[in-house]
Amino acid sequence: MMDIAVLSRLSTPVVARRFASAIDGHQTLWRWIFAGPAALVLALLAMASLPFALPAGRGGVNHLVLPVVLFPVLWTAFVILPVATRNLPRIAALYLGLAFFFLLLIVGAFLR
Amino acid sequence: MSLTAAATKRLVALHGWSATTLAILLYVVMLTGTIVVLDNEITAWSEGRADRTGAFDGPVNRHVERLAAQVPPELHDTVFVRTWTGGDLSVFFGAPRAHPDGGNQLFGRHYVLAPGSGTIHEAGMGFLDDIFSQRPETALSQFLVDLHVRLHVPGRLGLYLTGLLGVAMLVAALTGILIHKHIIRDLFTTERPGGRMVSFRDRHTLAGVWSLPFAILLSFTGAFLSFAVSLGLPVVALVAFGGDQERAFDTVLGGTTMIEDSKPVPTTDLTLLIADARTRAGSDVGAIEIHHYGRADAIIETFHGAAPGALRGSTLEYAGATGAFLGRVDLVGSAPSSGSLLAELMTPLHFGNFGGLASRLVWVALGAAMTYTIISGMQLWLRRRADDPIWRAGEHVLVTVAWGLPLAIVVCAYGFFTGYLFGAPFAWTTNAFLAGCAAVILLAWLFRHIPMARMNEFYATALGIGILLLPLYRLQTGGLSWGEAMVSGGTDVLLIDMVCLTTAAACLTPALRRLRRRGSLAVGE
Repeated sequence: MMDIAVLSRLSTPVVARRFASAIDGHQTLWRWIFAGPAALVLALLAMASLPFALPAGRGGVNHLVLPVVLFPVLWTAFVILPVATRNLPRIAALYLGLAFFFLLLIVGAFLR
Repeated sequence: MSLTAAATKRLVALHGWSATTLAILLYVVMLTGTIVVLDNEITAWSEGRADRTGAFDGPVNRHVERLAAQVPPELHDTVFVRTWTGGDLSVFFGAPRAHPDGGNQLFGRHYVLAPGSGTIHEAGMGFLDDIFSQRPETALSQFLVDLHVRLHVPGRLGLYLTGLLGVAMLVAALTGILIHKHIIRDLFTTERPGGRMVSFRDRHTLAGVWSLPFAILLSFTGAFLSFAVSLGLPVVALVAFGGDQERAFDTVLGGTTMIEDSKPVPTTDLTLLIADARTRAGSDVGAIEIHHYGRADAIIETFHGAAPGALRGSTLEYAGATGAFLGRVDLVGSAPSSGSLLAELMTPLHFGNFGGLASRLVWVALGAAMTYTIISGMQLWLRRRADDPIWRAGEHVLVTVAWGLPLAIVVCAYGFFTGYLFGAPFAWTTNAFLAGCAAVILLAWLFRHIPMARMNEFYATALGIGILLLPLYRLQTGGLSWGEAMVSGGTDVLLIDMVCLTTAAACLTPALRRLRRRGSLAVGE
């Protein structure tokens, strides 16, 4: 019977495996990058893109005010997350996914 | 949340490094923040006079009409009426003009007059912000506020810096929660004796755990206040308004927009309007702003302090031509919403001014605990690295900064009172602070071989004597005496003097104890 780890290895695409091993090979460096510049860039992207995703509310400003209020909290969370987690490739995937989502919101709003 | 040993180790490193890299600046912001919670009281204490009459109790309408007839109509664009030094009334007539520092600001004529008789005490021209920031009695409190808000770094850079400090403190506080597995038990830690490493850890844990919720609250609201206008609004304006910051401001700030109508119509009686606004807001008027004075589309805004039981002050809006009440102005947006509520909560939660003096005194106490947490955290950090010669020098620097800053602030207060006497309080305040810093650095260098314990006691005694003599110096330079303060209702003078005497007593206690011990030893011999 095949081992679960071997099964998951086989089901993971080669690119993803290489990506994960590249990050695991330089854990300290990547942790610095994720908790440092990546955290700031993500928080800025969140603040810039969330006005296009949040509802304006009764006063017509919720979508503008909430991202600004959330900015310090998001930045802090993005700093702590890579330090507290053992699985760095997962953090990399999460940060890339979030960055892609935030950029999509901004580009979508400009194309509209 | 259960963490692995490696993750906990990394979080301990993040907790330490996030605070250590910016420790000195964090200490400056925390200590000055603790002091400027009482900035209004410090201004009143500095002024040395108690307001005997309310600036808005006189015939305000008559004064504004008389002055309006003397200024060119183009300066009727914005009229700003507020209280001034010694209870006088300040009236400013102006219109936007390019400021040398960039952007448009109100430029016009400014008058200071007796609220009853209308006798003009001062008249001048200039930009509104420049005039308002040059009130001599605010020199000391403004210096401390600027040090807290932007570390005296000009422009947005100062706000970015303090915002970054807010985030660093938030990281330190949250990682503190994650690494402390027994927070409830830590609340009742007692310091183990002997000045060992564990004693330092106990001290830091105790101060840190008790001030933890406050640390999260203050760092979050502080970071928001620093970043909101300097970074948040420009970023939102860039993406959502095509870079048009003015339109972004108008949308966020809301308020009533009148249809443009330049037809001359006399503005409503301001004296009656003030009485109505006082009743509606439940508190006195602090200032009035009139847009398009003497026109059909005039709008009048009255600004009020917090009414009893209210969390924050209010702004009321009236139609200038008819005097009709238009409504309360939300801090942001055109109607109450979760966004406006959140934004409105930030200021009172950061300044602690929601429950009058009592809440602000609680904020002072918690701010002092947080300031101590930063210092004890640094002591712990340096003790752990005592074997490293580079970090060993750090302990000397820490003692110098920890005592040097309050000493420089006290020197700065002496400088202010001297400058206030000679008519140049702003220059004296800044120069005295710089001189205080230089003197402390020189002392630290001269006494670099003296043991830390002796230096601590020396600095504490110097600070204690400095603060103890400050109320006396204030009195000698024309300040209000305690008797005058009690008669004229100048409780702020009594409050700050009491704070000075209590702090002085706390600083002088170790030295007095040592003297008493030495005395009893001598008697025993």
